[in-house]
Amino acid sequence: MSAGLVVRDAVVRYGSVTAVDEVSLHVAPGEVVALLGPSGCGKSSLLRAVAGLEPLAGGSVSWDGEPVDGVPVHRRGFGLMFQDGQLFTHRDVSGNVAYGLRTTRLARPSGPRRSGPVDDDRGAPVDGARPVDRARRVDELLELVGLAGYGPRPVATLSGGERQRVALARALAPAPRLLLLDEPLSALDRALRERLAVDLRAVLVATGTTAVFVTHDQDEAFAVADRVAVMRAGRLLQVDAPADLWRRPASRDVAEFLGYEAFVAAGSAAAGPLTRALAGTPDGSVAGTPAGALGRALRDDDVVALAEGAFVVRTDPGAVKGAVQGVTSRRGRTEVRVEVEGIGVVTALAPVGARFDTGTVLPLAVDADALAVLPGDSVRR
Amino acid sequence: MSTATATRPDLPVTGGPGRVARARRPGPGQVLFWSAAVVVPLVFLGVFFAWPVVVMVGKGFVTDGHLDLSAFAEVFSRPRTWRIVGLTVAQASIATALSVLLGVPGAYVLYRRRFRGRSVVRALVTVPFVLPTVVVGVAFRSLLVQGGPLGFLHLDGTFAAIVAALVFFNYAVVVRAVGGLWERLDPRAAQAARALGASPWRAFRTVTLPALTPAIASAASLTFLFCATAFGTVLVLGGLQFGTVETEIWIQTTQFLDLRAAAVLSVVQLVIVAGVLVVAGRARSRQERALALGAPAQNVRALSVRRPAGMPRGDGHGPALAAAAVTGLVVLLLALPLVNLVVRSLRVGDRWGVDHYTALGTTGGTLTVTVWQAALNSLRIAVDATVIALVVGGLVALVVSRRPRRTVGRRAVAGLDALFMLPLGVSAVTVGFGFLLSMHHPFGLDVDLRTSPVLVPVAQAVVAVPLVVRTVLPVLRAIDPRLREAAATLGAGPGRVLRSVDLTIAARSVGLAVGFAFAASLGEFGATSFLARPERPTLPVVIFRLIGRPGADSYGMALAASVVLAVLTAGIVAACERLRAAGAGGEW
Repeated sequence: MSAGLVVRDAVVRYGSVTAVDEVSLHVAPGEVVALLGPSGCGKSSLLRAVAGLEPLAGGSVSWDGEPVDGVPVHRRGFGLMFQDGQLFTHRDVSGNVAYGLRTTRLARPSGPRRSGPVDDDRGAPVDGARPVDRARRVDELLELVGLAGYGPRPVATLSGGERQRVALARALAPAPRLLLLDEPLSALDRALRERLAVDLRAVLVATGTTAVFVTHDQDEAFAVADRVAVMRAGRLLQVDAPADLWRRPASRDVAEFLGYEAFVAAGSAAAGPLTRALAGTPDGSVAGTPAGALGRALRDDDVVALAEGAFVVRTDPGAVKGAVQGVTSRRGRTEVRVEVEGIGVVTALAPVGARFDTGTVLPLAVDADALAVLPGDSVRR
Repeated sequence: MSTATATRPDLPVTGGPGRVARARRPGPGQVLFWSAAVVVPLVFLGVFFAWPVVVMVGKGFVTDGHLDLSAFAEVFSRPRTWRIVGLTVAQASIATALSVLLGVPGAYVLYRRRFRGRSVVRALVTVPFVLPTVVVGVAFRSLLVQGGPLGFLHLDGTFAAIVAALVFFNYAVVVRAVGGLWERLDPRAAQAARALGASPWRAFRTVTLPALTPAIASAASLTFLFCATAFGTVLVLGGLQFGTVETEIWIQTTQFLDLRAAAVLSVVQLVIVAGVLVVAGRARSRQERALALGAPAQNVRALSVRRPAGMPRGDGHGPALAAAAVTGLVVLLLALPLVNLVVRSLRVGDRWGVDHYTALGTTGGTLTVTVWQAALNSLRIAVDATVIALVVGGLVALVVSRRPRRTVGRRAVAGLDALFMLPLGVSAVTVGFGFLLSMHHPFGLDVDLRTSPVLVPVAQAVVAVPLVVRTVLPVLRAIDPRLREAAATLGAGPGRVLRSVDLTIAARSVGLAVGFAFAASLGEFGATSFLARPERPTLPVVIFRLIGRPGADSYGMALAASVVLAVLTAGIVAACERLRAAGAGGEW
């Protein structure tokens, strides 16, 4: 019996469309797992199925070894936070946060009860749900999300970021045993999103909340989650810690989604400088470096994947040459689109302020940190 | 038009750098168009609604050129007045409450759930709403009368029968208004509540219901309005014992010739109506406040008797089934009077036959024209009335859909909106009788419009205009202003923006507006009963004459004529609604 959330072979169908196709996932207590994938990959459907909002066409969901498939949404003890917050506009901030405190969730027994004949919310308030306790809990949560004193404000007066903070406080208030977050930051602008991702991580860790977090933004996933599960077309491709995922994508699909932009067979002539760079890493055999990830020597049918910055523009003659296709600047750093023979068009990094004319041939050095090796058998489909 | 007028005057204009943003002057063409759009409906309403009503009410309060308000005291000292006012309010309140209680589950089942035959049920539910009031009255009578299928209930001529008929008539109002909003309501708000531990019932009560409240309030006030001013149905069902202010005005005017009492009652009705309209207006403005709305398709779930696989117990399947059961029962009850009407119209003595229908080709011995001739009159008049109502109502909707930047402008627009709702509630009898009084040498001109055949369609158009406005306006208001801005930045002048954006999109709702206007006109009875020339009666007038006449044959003819009128109205509305669906699907 495993503690925490276990999803086994979950299938979600909408009519004839299979949105989630036999996905299995384990989330340990206190862990934050991100479901990462492009839109339409089924990640939100999986989240909704875990919440109990979509019926499973196959497989099961259980918590601490007990199946929750027969438990309706409101008795699962799983919190849910939506992309656009879904705050109740007819209640003020504290009214929203307190909504989940009316039930006896705080005094909930550890295991889910089978559906009883009487609804919780009609009985007298039990411990943890008395008005005084409730008010204290609301204040506590508003402070936690950095909105102390916002209680009486109508939700219409809040900014987008504040709304999501209230939604987070509301979802955390009943102390759910699992918090499900459906793209909670996607509707916000970039700077705010990056700041809130850090805050979100801090809040989840501070409260020890077990969470599943759906997003299509890998930076967000890497910032918030302990482990990242990559989904595509209804299937789970890989689940790993962010660093491992980045260094050891299990397949070309995963690598492409993470932003690896070129793939070269390790045996080809063009891959020579790359494999040499991989071999020249301080310790080519230690786990954590790309070559070491394979646990064996590089074979000719293995594939080297190149991320942005796999090449760096050098001043002295380098081993590789690339023709300039275009220059852009990102956060001050110059990025050059170069065409490298045998590899294709890749993004190379150049010193700040560097300018190049289109067609110029530049010497390039290889940065092994931006390389990953995909085992040959994973690439052959 | 010049490019200088490419920006609508009511939208903020950003000036060049360093310049103060200032709205540009509208071009002369624009000024002319919008002035006409405001003036034409106002003149129409003034001449054909306000003036007759003022003349009619004035008759009661002006004696020998002096204002004399003693009629109020006199009329209110009669117990009969209080009884009628009480009855009106009681009937309308109970019927409204029942319509809402039954209509909300109906809206859920018909708009939030998917099942085989749903479109048929939706259409069936709408039929009573477009049926002429006289037909509804006749249909209920034939159901409840001694010897009818429900005769054993002894409900004929009772308060309960009137309330039932009013609910029958207005159920669709609630279902359509609430369902239309519910269909698009983002289900995730309720799901968020469920995830916070709320049972399906608590999530409905604390999240969904508050979101629906504006639509419910709006539908309830409209229903109350229709019930409080019900005329044909109550006149047929209520007999002498029961009535509304509206029927009482008719009785005081035509039976007792007591214009003072009629005038006082008209004012009483106006006060009630204005009060309800204020409430309705508030509810509507709250509804138009931004609600989280989604596309209907993703919100609608299949309805099945058995709990779907994978759905846990206690997840709201029970309440859904209960709502479906209630709705099923209501639909059966709605169908009952209609089916019965058709069946009874085919009974001749103890056998079946189409004799009553054949009799429609005769005058039935006492009518001035054959029933078919009356039907033809009705159709001709309805075409004229619909055209007038569309032009006037369309212009009003266009003006009211604007959102001027200045507060004065916004208030004026809101006022115009409320003004054109008034004909919904002001006694059609008052309007009709007012026409008779005012169109004799109107404004001192030496013409007598009372004999003019124009009068009947104009009176019916007055009644139909609010329906056109209410159908077209929401569509116009829902147009994203940025669409107009996009058209303007692409070089379209104001005229072209209006044509290519507003009118094109509104055209999709025009089909339904035509249907409602046509139905309202075909079934109009209150005003028409005063205005129709004896040699050119309309179908509802003929039906009313037939049921007032003794003899099984007259009654049979009335039933057959009611079926004809019902089929005509329902058929035309159905065709118009189909027109709208095709337009909506094909264009976008």
